[in-house]
Amino acid sequence: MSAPTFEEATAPVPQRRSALRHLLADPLGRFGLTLVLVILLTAIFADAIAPYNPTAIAVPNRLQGPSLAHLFGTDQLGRDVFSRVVLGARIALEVALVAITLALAVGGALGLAAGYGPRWLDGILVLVFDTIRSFPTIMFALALVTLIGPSLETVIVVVVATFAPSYGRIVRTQTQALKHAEFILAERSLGAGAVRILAVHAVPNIVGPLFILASMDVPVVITIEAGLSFLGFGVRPPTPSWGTVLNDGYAFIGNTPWIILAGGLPLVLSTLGFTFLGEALRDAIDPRLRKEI
Amino acid sequence: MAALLEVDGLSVDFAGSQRPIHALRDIRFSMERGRIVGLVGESGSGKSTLSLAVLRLLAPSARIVSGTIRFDGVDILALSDEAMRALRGRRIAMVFQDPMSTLNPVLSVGAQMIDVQFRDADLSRKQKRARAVSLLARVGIPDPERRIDDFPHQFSGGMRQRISIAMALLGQPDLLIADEPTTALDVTLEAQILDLLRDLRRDFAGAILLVSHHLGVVAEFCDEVVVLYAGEMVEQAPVGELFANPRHPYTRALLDCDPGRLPADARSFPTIPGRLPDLGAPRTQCVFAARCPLAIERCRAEPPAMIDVAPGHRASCHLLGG
Amino acid sequence: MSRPVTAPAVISSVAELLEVERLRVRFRAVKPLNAWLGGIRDPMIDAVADVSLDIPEGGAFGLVGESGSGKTTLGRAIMGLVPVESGEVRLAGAAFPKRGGRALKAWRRRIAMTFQDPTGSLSPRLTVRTLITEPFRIHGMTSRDLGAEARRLIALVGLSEDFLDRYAHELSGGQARRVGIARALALDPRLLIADEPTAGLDVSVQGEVLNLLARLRGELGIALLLITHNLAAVRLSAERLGVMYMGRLVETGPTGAVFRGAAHPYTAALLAAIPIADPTRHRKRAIAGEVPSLLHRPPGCEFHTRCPHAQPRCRAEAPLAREIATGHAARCHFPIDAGGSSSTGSP
Repeated sequence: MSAPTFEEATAPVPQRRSALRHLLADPLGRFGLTLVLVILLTAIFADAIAPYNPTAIAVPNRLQGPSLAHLFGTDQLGRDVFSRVVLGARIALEVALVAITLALAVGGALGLAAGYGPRWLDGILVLVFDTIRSFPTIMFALALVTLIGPSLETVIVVVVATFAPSYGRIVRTQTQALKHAEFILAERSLGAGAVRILAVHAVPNIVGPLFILASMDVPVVITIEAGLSFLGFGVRPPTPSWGTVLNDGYAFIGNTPWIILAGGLPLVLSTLGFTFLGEALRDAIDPRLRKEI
Repeated sequence: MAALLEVDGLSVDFAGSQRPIHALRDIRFSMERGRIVGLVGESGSGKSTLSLAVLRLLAPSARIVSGTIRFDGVDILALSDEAMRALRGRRIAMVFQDPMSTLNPVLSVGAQMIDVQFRDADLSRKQKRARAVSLLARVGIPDPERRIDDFPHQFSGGMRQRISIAMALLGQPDLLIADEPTTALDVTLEAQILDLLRDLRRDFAGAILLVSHHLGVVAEFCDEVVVLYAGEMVEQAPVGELFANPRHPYTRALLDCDPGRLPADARSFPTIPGRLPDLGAPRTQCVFAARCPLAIERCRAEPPAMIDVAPGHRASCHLLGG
Repeated sequence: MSRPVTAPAVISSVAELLEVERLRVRFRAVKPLNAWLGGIRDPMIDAVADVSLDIPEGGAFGLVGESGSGKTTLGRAIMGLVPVESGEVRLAGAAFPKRGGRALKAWRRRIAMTFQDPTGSLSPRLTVRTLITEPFRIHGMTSRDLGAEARRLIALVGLSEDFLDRYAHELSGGQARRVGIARALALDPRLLIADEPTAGLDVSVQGEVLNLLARLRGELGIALLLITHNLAAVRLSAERLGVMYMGRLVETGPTGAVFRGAAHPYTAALLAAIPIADPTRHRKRAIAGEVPSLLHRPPGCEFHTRCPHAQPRCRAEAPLAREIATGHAARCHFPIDAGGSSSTGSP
């Protein structure tokens, strides 16, 4: 390898440096990563971690405060709140991951079509996106519940409908910008068709920032699920979700504040964790934000 | 009388990914009042670094390792930020390659040209506007009375460059630094701007430092030429002397590559084979040795010194006795 | 030592390789609402207006013009990257496939293009090896030994094999250009369109790219359409050249003849504007004015607003291309004669 020229020497550091290392160097990133890992592990090993069956009713023990036997106390039916919260983590993450993945797939595909395809298609799709986005989430949820009843699936559909248009818009904008990029023109000149261009050249350049944005939406989705379940549109009892725990805690706040705290704490922690992690990831991957030249 | 600008032993480093890049090494030259000096070099020569150093507008990652820059006897590098700001725009003005770097897109041209005169407290706003209009006319903007209220984006690239020049001249600077003022323009516009600068020279008493990668531009316009290569000065001479008797092998090779000088029977384009040396490495040999067709053992063993080869003509090459 | 440029032996085919006939490319420059508000009657501009040119098998044509002349658009139209309003492009007699699909794909095997922004034209997340073998994958030729092809192509453009593992942003401008050329040559095209191959390069290395193109012409017998604003580059790279102004070809002819005696005043102005690296010679004064907006084309000869020899007839009547000498034509009522003076009689 020959000596670098002036431009090469002062150019940004190539992305081969481990993004993980940068992430770990950032204290907030470390904090976020730790929180997220805790929540992830809790969700995965929920059955092993939860000391009691979260749906086991034991009315004589109802509304007890925290103790060694019940870390977060018991709720109005004597169920161990800690176990409910632990299982709730699994539900929260399941919903979040499934819903966001679906939203990315649907929104992304439509966004690619809108950005790269003919003008009329773009016009129609943007209209669709904006129309769906203009519905308040709660109203949409209400309508959906009336149609298909409350359930986890309802929550997922609501989330997909809420986020797919935003993802669609973002993918559309990125694709539009790329459409006129010189390297896309070069690929067209070589004979590449639209599918190849989108799959090989457009998507890999869009996916990175999109992924980070989506990861920062995880806490939002968890909160939406909790909110919908709180309102009774989502998970049906006795399935434990952070939202239903909050609902119970709200109803019995006069008796004990611990249930509400138990339901709210994981929401706060997950929001903090994913947000910090997402921002640190973004900084780690984007070379322009690196402090060194 | 002391020279207007004296650069002595200036070395500038940039922070690199692994070790510092030596963008400029031991630059030594001076400019007299009213002279036009051309600073010629290709990419990596450090010419823009030098002009930015004089204005103290280098990026934060740049470090002035050693040397002094004296403007009218005053050590610029020792000045406070405030004192430096007083110099900029007033006594030292700059025109950049991209006129949009000089012009604020959200203010009208008139507003900017009046604003530039903010230090002239004794002039009324009307008078400042009148000065601006007359300068716009002088640089060839048609219908200046009306167009002074337009915004930069409403002018073409060539006109924006003329406006930048007008703004630079408003402060009646002692030194005008033009960093590749025509590089971004088409050749016919470039010719117009060069004609303009030549015209303005009659009325403008200040010195001009013209930075360019193109020898032709420098030949048209300058009294004296300084040639830079990979951060070092390799030759300095009055313009006629440089083009008639280039002494440094790089200068000669560069002249040969100029497309305007292609001999009629040329069969292919001359080039200088090879690449720039490692700008991060310490200086142990002649900076041009790796690419020089005349290099001898000594060239790779020690760097040459700058010596006088004729009155006003210096070059650093072992073959000249350096 | 400089290597001589050898033109390949002319292949016996009499017909031209590339024939462009009266090509017109229109764009909408202003949105309809803004046009109506701004009182602009016709929001369409002719980026390329009525251009005809031919390139023989293995020949080279230099297309010269300043920004906005339409030269890049013409190159892209030949590739089929921008829609054509009227006119025809023929390659070895076959017309440009209007309906796209497989025929268009085949068209793009026979003509290849390199782009002005060398690093920008390379997909950022792919290695050089993947980039230069893209054409094989696109055309379903994956049975070939792509590794060997990559090595062949990178050597063809004078770069070492280490470059195969690099990414676009790890290449200098000159290296990226060579990679672009390697990629363009992958499927053995008959015509290479090089859009501003020397833009952004230092003078001392511009020759490298131009000499490389010349060598490739000699070795591969490939034809070249060289699009550039750098007149000097054309002098040794192309036997014929054409000068474009506001989308029209104002002069075409053998390179040597045009350089020795430009017939059209605009060509003369371009030649005169090149700065001379000789302080004892003074360049003639530049022509005044700027290129008029394509939305408001001047009547008659479009150059009359800036032409030092303009006559009343030039404002009234658009000139047709008139032949000055064999193969040398100019669109001018009063072309400059062999002695260098305007045929209007004015100095």
